[in-house]
Amino acid sequence: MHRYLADRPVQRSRKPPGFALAMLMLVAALGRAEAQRLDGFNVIATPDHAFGSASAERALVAAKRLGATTVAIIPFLWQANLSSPDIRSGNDMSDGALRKAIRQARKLKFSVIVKPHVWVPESWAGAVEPASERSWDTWFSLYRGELERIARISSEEGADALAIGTELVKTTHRAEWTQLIAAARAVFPRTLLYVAHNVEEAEAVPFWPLLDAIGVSLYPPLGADHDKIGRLVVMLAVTERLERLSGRTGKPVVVAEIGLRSAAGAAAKPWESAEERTATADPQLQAEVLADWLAVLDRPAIRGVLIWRWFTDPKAGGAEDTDFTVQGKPAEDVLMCAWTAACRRPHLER
Amino acid sequence: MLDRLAAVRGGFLRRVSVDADALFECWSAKEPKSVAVLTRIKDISHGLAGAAGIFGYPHLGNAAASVEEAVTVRLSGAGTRREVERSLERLLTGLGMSCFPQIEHIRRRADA
Repeated sequence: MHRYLADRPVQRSRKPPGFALAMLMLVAALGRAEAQRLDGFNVIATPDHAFGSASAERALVAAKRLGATTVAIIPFLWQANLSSPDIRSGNDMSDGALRKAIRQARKLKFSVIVKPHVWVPESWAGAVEPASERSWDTWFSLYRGELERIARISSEEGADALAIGTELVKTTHRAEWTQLIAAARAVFPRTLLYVAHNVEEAEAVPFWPLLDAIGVSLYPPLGADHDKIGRLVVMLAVTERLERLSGRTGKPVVVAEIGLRSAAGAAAKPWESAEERTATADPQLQAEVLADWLAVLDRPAIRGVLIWRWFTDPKAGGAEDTDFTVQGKPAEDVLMCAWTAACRRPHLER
Repeated sequence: MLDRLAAVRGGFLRRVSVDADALFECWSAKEPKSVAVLTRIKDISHGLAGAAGIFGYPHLGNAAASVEEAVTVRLSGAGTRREVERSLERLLTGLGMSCFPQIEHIRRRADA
């Protein structure tokens, strides 16, 4: 058993290891103290609680009460299948709705990240891969048009950051991104990032030097629900790789998406949605996993963590709900502890 | 099981090494009481307070929480400089007693 505290004070002349490193860290840390952290939620509008409504405001105020400083707003783009070059804006969020969303969030003093997602029926953005060079040309041309539209609105409404893409794993090796980033930069004057899928894609993205920050979504398999040590090993490994990536590129990391359902078995497949698997509610598991993630990700290179997700319906979630949202669940307390004040957390099992 | 536990502890100690160095510098500064420095101490302590328990070092977590509390009081205009220093001394002593030998061991292995 270690003894952690001793009665005698530390002598001023006793320098811990890594003194030179500490000097560098301190200088960096003090500079960083003025840099704003981006902690909060990916916010999704529900049908009866549109952005701009009084109920959406209540939901956003509740998020703020937990200590959230940032919201990610998600305009969806849509394509019929993975190889289709025909990508279009979805009908879930009109330009007017996007403007209302940014305005409402800014009115409540949130930092705003606009983060377009590509929606593919029965699949996901990471599998999008046009089938021919001609299809690639068309896809990038249309995607660029949509991104410029979103960037223009984001700029005009004062959003703080814009993701040029989210989890487009099979596209990021393409050279077209260079011109696309330049086009976005011409329209949007503030922070630009891309959101990679897990640390593996983040390490492979070639265009980080052209952006201001590294975005990443983190949904690695975390093992059995009860295996706390196992998941901490995974979390530490992921975080250390992100720190090294940040060091190599000189860019801060924003964890733009992280979370899991409040459902039994969710740790093994944190990406799995309620539509994919029926499960009993386990809000405590969600709370514990998020507590572990937030503790491990609390490193200088990680400049923010955005939880997936938070609904504009202020009554969403609750103890029996098995969705990703943390509303009305014990995870709310975990987030408030992490974002606003000290707290006691579960101990590592020995 | 023991290997995985060692990996977790090792990861935490690597982190503690960096945090401890930064805290030590804040504590050692001639005039470590600017709002920026106090805020930095508070942020580091907050993170340690949250993480230490999760990684199996609850006493360290308690000491870090005491620092955070003392700095919070100080930043609000109450409390004394000495209270902040005392809580930091206790935390740094705890870090030195419990962690630095292991941190050195990890560093030596990394250098080898």
